[in-house]
Amino acid sequence: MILILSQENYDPSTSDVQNWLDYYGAKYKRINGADIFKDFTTDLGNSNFDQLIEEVNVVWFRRWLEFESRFKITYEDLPEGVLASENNLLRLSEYVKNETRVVNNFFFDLFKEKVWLSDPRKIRLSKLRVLQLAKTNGLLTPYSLVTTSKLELIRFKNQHGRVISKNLNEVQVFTDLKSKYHSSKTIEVDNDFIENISENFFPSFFQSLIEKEYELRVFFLDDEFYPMAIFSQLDKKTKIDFRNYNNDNPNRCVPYELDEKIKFSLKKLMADLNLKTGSIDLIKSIDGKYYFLEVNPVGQFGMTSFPCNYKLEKKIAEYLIQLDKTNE
Amino acid sequence: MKYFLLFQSCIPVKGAKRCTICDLAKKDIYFISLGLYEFLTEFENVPYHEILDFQDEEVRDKIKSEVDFLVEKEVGFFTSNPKKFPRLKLDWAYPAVISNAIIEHNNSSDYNILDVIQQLNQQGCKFIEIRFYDGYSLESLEAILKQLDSTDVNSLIIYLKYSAKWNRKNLLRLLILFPRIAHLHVFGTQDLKLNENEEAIQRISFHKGLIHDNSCCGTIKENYFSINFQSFSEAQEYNSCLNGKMTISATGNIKNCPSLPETYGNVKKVAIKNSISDNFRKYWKINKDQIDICRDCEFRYLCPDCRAFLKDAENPFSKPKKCNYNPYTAVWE
Repeated sequence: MILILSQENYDPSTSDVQNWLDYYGAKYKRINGADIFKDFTTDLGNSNFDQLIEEVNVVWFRRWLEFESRFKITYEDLPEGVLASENNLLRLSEYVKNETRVVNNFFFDLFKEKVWLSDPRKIRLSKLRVLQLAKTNGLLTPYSLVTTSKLELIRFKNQHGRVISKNLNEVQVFTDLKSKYHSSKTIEVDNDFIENISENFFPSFFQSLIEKEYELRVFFLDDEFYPMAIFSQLDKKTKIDFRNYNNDNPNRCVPYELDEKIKFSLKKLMADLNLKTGSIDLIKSIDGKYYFLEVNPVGQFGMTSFPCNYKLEKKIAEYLIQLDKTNE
Repeated sequence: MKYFLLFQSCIPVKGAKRCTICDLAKKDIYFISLGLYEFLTEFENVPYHEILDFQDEEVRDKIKSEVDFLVEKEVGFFTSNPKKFPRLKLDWAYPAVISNAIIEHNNSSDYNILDVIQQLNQQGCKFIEIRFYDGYSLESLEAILKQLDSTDVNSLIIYLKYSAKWNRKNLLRLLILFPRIAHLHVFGTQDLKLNENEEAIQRISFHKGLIHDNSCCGTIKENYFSINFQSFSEAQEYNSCLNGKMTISATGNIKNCPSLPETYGNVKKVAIKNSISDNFRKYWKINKDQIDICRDCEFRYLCPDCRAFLKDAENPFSKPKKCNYNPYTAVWE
């Protein structure tokens, strides 16, 4: 049996794969992160998932707890006698988050003998480490700098021209009064920006800006590449970060052919990172070079699958069925 | 060396008189000349300036202005690496045996609607249109809809004859309770003036006329064209109307579409899954490249087609009767 780990809402890709599993008559079970927080018992020997553990041969980790439902902590949740302060609220959130992590990991470990497609215990990659590894595997990367110093930033900028700043880890989403989303996307760090920052700041990540001909989003599965070119430079809005989607005039997303040399390096990188699947971001620069940016171990494949007709949902379903059979 | 390419989701289709570029990503159609079509499809690997050099001045200017227009519209682009942009594969696959269905119902219908929907869903069907020619009670409809929670039928289009017993509230309630109703068409009534600013109002419309049967079927008009990848790729090999379609008639007969005469058993006696024979599928692979006249039409992969009403009833490969587009003159006559 195939076990799908996903989130309760907002992940059409999970249901798209399920539709194919249904079509092929495959046996599968889907568990959403939220389910575990409603029904889970273990005495550290047995658990209410024993029957399932017996039947499952392969686990596909897709998503788990969604952004909206990651346990909203409010003042009412604070224990009696505790001061209703912002600090205490933060402490309680941190506490619940840590407790949650133990539950999740224990649950995932129940299936540790199984074959995993994306393993949640192995997908916390350090962007910086990945960049180092990409370089050792022969990929070109933008010049990178992590610093707390304005002086170092200015020196870096003087040396490399235009500079961008991006997250060291995941994008964080914030909401405003109208529940509109604001997220920490990549921005250009220009002279005006630098003028307004202090001498020392939180450790931040900078890279030389690569003038792009187009961006590449490459889905990787079972040693195969599914590359897509995104013509984000045609639109001012998406020039620095294509995730600033322009819904009125979406970027052109088209199938692409990767060089063998790049494929070779990427395969080595994915092997080093122990990843059977993932979404890789590259830039093709206007001077004709490929720059590696990052890899997302559980990336959105729907955005590559549909515009390029790669039928990734079908391929993932077929791959899971094959893994299920060979690991019976 | 620069080459001119179309973005691969913009697909040129040759007609007898003119050609289209079907922009499947932005869901738009552009018209281009036969000359430009040839240039785009036959000289893909020839640099732009070389193509221009071969033409006399008049043709050159025409190509140039058409290409400029396509670049401005972001339909095409210049690149020095044309080989990096493989064509978009147009193979079609969909995870269902029956992908869409029509259920007809009138006062004398005595089959079990819910059971039919569930059986269709087991064949992968998520898009169902139900036509209640003689109306239906809202209570019974609600009871059926409630039962559908355990299925993944996620888009229902319902045609319902109006009853004076209902008011605006009853109808809105249904739409709010059941998001899986994609659209509710109420016919035989004036507009009930639902002018509240609610999402549900987008999903209901009123029609003065009555609908007794399927005689409205088969009309081909420009605004019926579907410009999207799924139907464009399906139309390459399959019939854009009948592939994966099933109809259950008011008497419970299993059919391809409401307007075709053949029946393949009755749901009161036969399980739906056992009725999907090769014979049932015989229309599925009649594609537009095989149909007379349509094969010369620049709209052929966007057209909904019709195999029930034909120009020549004796010829299963003749053009839809209710289409008055002439691809040889490029005029809707």
